[in-house]
Amino acid sequence: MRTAIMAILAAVAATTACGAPPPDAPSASITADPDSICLGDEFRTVIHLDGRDSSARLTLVPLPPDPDDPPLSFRWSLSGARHFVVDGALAEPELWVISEGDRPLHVELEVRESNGGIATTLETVTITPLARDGSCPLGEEL
Amino acid sequence: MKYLSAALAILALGPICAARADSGSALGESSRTAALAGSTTARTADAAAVHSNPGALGHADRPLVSLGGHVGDLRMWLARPGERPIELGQTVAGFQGALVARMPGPDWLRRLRLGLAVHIPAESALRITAPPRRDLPSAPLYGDRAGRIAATFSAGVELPWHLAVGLGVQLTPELWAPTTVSYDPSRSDDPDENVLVDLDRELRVRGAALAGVHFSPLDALAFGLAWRQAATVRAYGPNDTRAGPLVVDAEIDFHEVFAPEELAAGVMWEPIRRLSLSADLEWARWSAFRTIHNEVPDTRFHDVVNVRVGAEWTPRPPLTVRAGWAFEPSPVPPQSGLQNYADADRHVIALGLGVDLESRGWAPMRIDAHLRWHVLGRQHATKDLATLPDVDPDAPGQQIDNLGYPSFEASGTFVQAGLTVTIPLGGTAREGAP
Repeated sequence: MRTAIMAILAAVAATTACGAPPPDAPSASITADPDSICLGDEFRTVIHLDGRDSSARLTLVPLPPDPDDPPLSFRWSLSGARHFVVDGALAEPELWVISEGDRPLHVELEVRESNGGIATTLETVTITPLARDGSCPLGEEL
Repeated sequence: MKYLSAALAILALGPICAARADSGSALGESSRTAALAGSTTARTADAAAVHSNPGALGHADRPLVSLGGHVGDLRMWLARPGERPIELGQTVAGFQGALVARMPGPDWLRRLRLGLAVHIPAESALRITAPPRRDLPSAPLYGDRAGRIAATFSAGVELPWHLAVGLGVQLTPELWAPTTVSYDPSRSDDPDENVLVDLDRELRVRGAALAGVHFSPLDALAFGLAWRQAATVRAYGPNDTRAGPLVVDAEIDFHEVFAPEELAAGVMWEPIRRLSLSADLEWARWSAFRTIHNEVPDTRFHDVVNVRVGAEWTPRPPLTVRAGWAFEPSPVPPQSGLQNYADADRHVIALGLGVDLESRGWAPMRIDAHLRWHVLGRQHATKDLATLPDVDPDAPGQQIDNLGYPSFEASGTFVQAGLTVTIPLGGTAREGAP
């Protein structure tokens, strides 16, 4: 049975393998700092979104960036809480944003390498509800 | 069974290829069944009985073969207040085929009818979409429910006292998918070339039982009762990664395309010649619904009772017109917790047209077409902080990242069109057969 299925899968691979193999997938990475703000932040906290750990090649083991790798292009998409970009741009590897903080801020980063390989990742800047006394558990003053 | 697995795999290789009352695949009924809004538990006249009520198959008066296709457009959305809607729409298309045969031989054997119905999605034989997050918005009553190959085999036998009983089995595929990723540093200086990936895929088949009774005390009156076992599609197997310090022994077990256990009771009545009316009540055990990760949702789904009615009228042969309406209450509870399932009470409105070429002596063939709308109400959901998980228990306070927070609304429509060609294989049609 296994042999038969493998043969069928091989046949599928043979009949569908038209043209060149797809480009290598890059690796997309987002680091958010801070990764949470308090409910009702009202645009006080500047959040740094960093995509610089993204790499042109997906590797199972940590490797230093290959200087020969072509540069990556970045595209940030933000949804959720109302927000403003205060520094950086949606096509740059780094972004600084402020958020209304009434709900989480969902951040998606699409990384594209020069051969067309695409990788996306989603990171959420969480919100932290206020403590019973109205203070921010994260230690910020509201 | 092993040949069946191979056959399903081979069917999967077909370019794009044959739908629920007939084969058990959601949204893939024949045009006649769709136009009657699925009120077919007491009706006998086509291959719908193969899945909707094997008992009715025992009263099928003619052998037949039918082929058809359908295409539908789901436009569903979910929106948090003040934000652009998240689109959950998709195109649903597929092909169906069915066969109803009467056994030859002595009279006692001729009372036995066999039925086979197959549905093949247009895009893929089996599609299981595992979301990267448990809170990713999804539409569980649509989603991938039509994205599977399905086949139903049934047998019905005609008994004395105007009774017929039947049994059947619905076959659905499941994917055994073990994966091992390992690392052999001796192969090359390039670490990426040292990664060994062992993929093994086996398409298996699982069965769900069907049973039904059909009672037709008069030519113009029939009753049907059918039970259908729950069915789900699995993709499962160990997924082990062993690369240097990275050792992950994981098990995937995705459950998708949930079809609940159902108990349906129907009646068909012909008040005047060439007009038949049908009505079904269908209890669906959605409380057994499990998430794609095979978990009980944080708020259990409800069981629901669906109401279906349909009318079929032949004003002047060869033309038959059909209309149907169904109300399907949503089984999805208020979405105050982790999951974000989009669904609301649904009205199904269906219209159909049939041309019976045989009635005019043109050709032994019936062509049926349908248009069907699903109109969903508006779902309102407000998240409850007490039921939302803390995504980072190590950080101070409760960290909320839910994609439906603080609230959302959802709704949608589904529009479908389809065509079925039915060819009788001998015998004579009883005029206006329901």
